[in-house]
Amino acid sequence: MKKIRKQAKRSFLPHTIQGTILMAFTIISFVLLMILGLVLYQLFARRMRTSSVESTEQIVQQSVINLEDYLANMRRISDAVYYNVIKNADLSTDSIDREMDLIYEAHLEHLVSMALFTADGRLISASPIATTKENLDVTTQSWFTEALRKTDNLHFSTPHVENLFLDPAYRYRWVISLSRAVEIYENGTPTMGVLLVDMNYSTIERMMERINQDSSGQYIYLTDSSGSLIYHPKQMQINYGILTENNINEAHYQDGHHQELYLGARRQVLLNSVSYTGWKMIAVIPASAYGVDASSLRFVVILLVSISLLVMIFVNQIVSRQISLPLNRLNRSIKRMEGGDVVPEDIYVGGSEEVEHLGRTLRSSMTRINQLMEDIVVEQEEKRKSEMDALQSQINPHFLYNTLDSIVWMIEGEHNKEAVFMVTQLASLFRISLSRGKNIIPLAQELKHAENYMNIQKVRYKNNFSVVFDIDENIRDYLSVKLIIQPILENAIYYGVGDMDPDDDAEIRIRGWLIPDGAAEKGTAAPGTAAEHAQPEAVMPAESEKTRQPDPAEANAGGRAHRQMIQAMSVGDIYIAVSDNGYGMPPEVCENLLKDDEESRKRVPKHGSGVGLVNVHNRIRIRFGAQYGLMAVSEPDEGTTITIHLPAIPNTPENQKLLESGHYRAKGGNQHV
Amino acid sequence: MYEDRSFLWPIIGGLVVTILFCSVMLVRGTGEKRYQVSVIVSDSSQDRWVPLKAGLTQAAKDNNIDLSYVYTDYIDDVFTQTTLINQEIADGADGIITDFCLSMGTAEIVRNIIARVPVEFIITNVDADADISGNYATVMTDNVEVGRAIGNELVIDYGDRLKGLKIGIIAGNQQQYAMQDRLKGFLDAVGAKEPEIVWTVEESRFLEQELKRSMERVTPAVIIGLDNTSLEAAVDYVAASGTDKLPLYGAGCSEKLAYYIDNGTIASMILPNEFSMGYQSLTDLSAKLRNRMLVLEDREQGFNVVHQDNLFRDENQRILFPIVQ
Repeated sequence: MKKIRKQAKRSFLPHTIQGTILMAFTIISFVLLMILGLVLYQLFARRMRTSSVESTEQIVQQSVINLEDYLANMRRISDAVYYNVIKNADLSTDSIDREMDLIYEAHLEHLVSMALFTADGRLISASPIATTKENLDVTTQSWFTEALRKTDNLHFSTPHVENLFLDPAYRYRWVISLSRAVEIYENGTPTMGVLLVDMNYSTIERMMERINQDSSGQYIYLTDSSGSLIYHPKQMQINYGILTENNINEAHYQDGHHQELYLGARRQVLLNSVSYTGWKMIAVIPASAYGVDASSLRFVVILLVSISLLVMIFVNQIVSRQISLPLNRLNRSIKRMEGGDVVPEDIYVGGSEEVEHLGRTLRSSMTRINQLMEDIVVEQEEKRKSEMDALQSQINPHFLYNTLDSIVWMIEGEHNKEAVFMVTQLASLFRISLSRGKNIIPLAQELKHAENYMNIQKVRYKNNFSVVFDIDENIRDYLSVKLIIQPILENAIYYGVGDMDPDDDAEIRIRGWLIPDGAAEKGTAAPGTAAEHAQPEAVMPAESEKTRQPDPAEANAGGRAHRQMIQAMSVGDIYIAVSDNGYGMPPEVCENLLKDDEESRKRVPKHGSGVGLVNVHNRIRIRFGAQYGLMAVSEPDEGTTITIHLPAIPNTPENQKLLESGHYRAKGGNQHV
Repeated sequence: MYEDRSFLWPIIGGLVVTILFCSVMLVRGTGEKRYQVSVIVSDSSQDRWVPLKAGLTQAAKDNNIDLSYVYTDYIDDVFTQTTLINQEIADGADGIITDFCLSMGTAEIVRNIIARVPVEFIITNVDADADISGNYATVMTDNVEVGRAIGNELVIDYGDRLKGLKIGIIAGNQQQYAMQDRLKGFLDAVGAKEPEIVWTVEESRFLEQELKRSMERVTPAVIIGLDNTSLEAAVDYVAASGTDKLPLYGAGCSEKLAYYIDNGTIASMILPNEFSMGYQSLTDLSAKLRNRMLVLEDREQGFNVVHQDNLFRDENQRILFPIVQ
């Protein structure tokens, strides 16, 4: 479980400074913006609810004022008819039709009809003049009875279809009847009558429709004091029982705000009374009415938060990049440094004070490391040279001992001519050996040296064996480490053909050839190339892990430059094979022939100093690299072949000087070998 | 470093989608789709459709429907009516409410229409295949009962005097099952009293002339108008001929008929609740359009009996005069 958590952490958490900063900033921005969004939404939603209620309240109050104004106008019309017309007329002699018509015409827009009835329901006058219905009995109608029940008041009915007159145009109009008891005079006698003013209901309906345009679900309706509907935006649905309304209860609420739960829905009710009439204007705001606006608000808030977050992400990205850029540059410098292709001047120094300090410290550290490495390289080089000198000093006494031994043998045997020849050859040999102290000589000299040596040995061994030099003339103009063939010839004589009978046709064959670069791959190698001379059993000790000696030149970074330099100077490979048809040696001896450890030394019988082949092998490798050196192939009773592998470096003063110094500087670099 | 920023891409993607969604919602609003419903009835500007139209208008408002009340002349050809319906569907109508002028042999026409849009038939039912998808239904009064109610009014007013009483019937469009049912209901109700049906006139373009001819042939003691058009034809004839004392009975809902009830020309009238018919048919259709799995169901609407005494009662005046003038 812990492991899984750790893995998940590793997968999801960023791995870089910029990633970490970016993620942290993004999370913080997201959380802050979410909190801000929620707070803003709550504040705005609350404010919206409050303003919605306030706005509805204002609408209701204004509508009540307008309605009161309208009803006051109607009352004034009624007053005008009563006080200016009816009170001033004796109806037994005077007609009030004209005055009533004038008032009716003046308020035609709001009135449907006006009529005056006696207390027993007889029509005295009406405007506009119309045909009254047969058998019209107004005394049963509520506006009439109410007027006579409370004679001091004006009475407003609920809406109904005007039903006193017949309209041949088949028009039936909805009215609200304003009725009052009036005192009428007939023959000077005051009697009771009822004045009816039928107000056009459409005026009130239009007024109410105007304030019911809201599509959010809130609505305003009008009831009388008992709760009977005067106007409701869904009056028909209520009449048909499709919808219900809590009008009866709500009409009895006090003016003001009320919360109620009706048919399972919570809603707010605002109630205002219309003065004088006892009517109630009721605004209903269901909880769902806020939903429409709240939904839009929710989208606005989400939109703002999303845009802000997007902007924050881009800003965070810029900020995190600014912070991490110097560190990343420094990191890239370190990576290049690890790859080994950077100089201290390439290390980034910049950015903030801390990063700049790190860069400077790293740059000075690298300068010091390079200095130390150079010192180590120089030391290694010195060590290598002293090793080479030691090896060189090993060969001279060895050879000299053998040669002098031969001359002594000749002089003792009074072979003076041969002795002179031997001394001459020895002189030539030493001249080449000395070579004015040089270690690198042309192959022509090395081969000459080998010929001198073999001439000496042939004399010594009474021509018991023959010597054949089969040398490609081209290789003579290439450079070689000196004294590398002679020790091999020496071994061929001692371990191969030296002790054979003269009748055995003993032979030592020295062959030399050149393989130019690319010839082997193209298959166009000249006769006598590696392909031709390859021997399957050949062991290249230099390439064998077991036999590979620690190469001082490879021990440091300079080894690579050394190898590159040799490859740059070389134009191919030179092979010199020394073969004898002597006794040969068993494979285990052959395998250890070129090894320089104590165990191998014990296994391989040595003649003289016993260091000849190993000495040559190490010298070639130290000078030219681990890919060069000796290869040994041997079959018991068949013979042995030792092949020298050298780079084909043309004999020029520059090359000789460079190889002699053993101290190379790579092109454009400062590596030392 | 590149990988470390990769966690941002899903967040940025999510934010861009959210921004686009919110923008679209704010621009387009969260309102539901508005469906369009076309209403096709014969002679659509007749007053007799006022209550129905009021019910349709109110339902359209309540259900957020675009109502297209198609202007038509008198339709007595079902193919003309079908052409109008097809035209409305081609113009984008999502549903149809119609009063078919023909009830018999309409199965193929109905099948063809309901395959495209749901249909509410009003006033009368029609021949149609069984419909498992519930794509059509009928909203109407129980017409047998309406006919019976007209007959009952006659029985109440005349009692045994009905025996042998000469009755002329204007039987409406007898191509409709509704009118056939009303006639059947009426005859059932008065049959026991054995009145004499002196003539029966069906609705047609030449109704006025045919009525006149029938009246000239035999003048009945009572005229029955089984629907609004028939009863209006009767009152027109009575008003024009001055035979004021000829009692009229029937069914209808126009203000003109209300006037003739008010002045006593019509003794009694059955008032079908056409406001409710309009409201209910459109409400059901709206529900069907919003939920295609819903099955439209037949509905029956009530009716009132109206005469001079109760014309202005609250329940009647709201049906007869739905529009405030």
